[in-house]
Amino acid sequence: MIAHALFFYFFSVIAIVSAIFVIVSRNTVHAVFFLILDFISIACLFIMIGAEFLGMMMLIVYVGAVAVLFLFVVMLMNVTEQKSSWFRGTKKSNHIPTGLIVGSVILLELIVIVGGWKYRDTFSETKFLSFDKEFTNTHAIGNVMYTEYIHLFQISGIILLLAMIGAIVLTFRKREGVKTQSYFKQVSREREDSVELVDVEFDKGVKFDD
Amino acid sequence: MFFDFLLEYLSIAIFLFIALALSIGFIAVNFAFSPKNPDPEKLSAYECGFEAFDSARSEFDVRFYLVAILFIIFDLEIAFLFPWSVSLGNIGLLGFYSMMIFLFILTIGFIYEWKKGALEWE
Repeated sequence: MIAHALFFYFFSVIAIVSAIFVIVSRNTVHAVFFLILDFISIACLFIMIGAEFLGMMMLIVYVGAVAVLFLFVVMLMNVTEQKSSWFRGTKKSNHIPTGLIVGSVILLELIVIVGGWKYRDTFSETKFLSFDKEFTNTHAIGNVMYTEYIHLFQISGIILLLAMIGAIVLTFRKREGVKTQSYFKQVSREREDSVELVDVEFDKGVKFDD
Repeated sequence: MFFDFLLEYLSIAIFLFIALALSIGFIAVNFAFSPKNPDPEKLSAYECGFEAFDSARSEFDVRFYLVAILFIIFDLEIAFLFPWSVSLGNIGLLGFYSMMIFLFILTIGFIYEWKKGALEWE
């Protein structure tokens, strides 16, 4: 029990500290790495409350894919340079009013959420997920997600399709004048199309390309 | 007991702490015992004889982003397939066909990107 509490505090301190560092670090690439650390410690917290499948999915999807995507976006837009020039005050940013509006809206929403929060006396009894050695977290999700929540599941499929098509439409450009290998043409070429046998008469030679 | 299954993660936790201690230890030992005697000539670029022209973090091609986002989508598809395959015996025909429809929708997108040539580098 006490080891459990120690591990909980260890991972939650890492999560909170790295979340703060995501915001305050000046180098955006460092911010993304702190975000990855945050994701990993939250995945550990998920595993500690018994949601093993969610923790592993957090590792695979967020750490493995989303963080890489963030890194690509940071590299793509080269925000490192812009950000450091904002911080030094050499360049005026015109995004600050928009950011202030969005930030204050989120702050208001947080106040609404936290204002309605009450301490539950029964919290200590229900804080763990029901856990069974035979009936794992993965089973529990799989039993309801594809039948009871079928509409949400299909909507997520449509959203993934939209994301795929949207990414292709926004970023894909056909490059002109690029020489590529045409496998179909290459494989379907016959011997008769390219090889010709010629009987060469003595002392006459062969006429090419007429 | 609820915490019993966490004992299976004990070896991972020990591994994590050894890795953490080693990495922090190496940095700390370097920091503590390395001679610190900076000099402008020592700190300047020496390897090729000239200063760097600009930052090594140049902008990426946008196609890396495209590949990454297409990877994420199929990664999520696999993530959805895991619990489905585990509990396929309990969810009946409805569960089976709901996953088939999901896969069909994503296959439409896959055919679209294949035909569009988004998977080809050049």
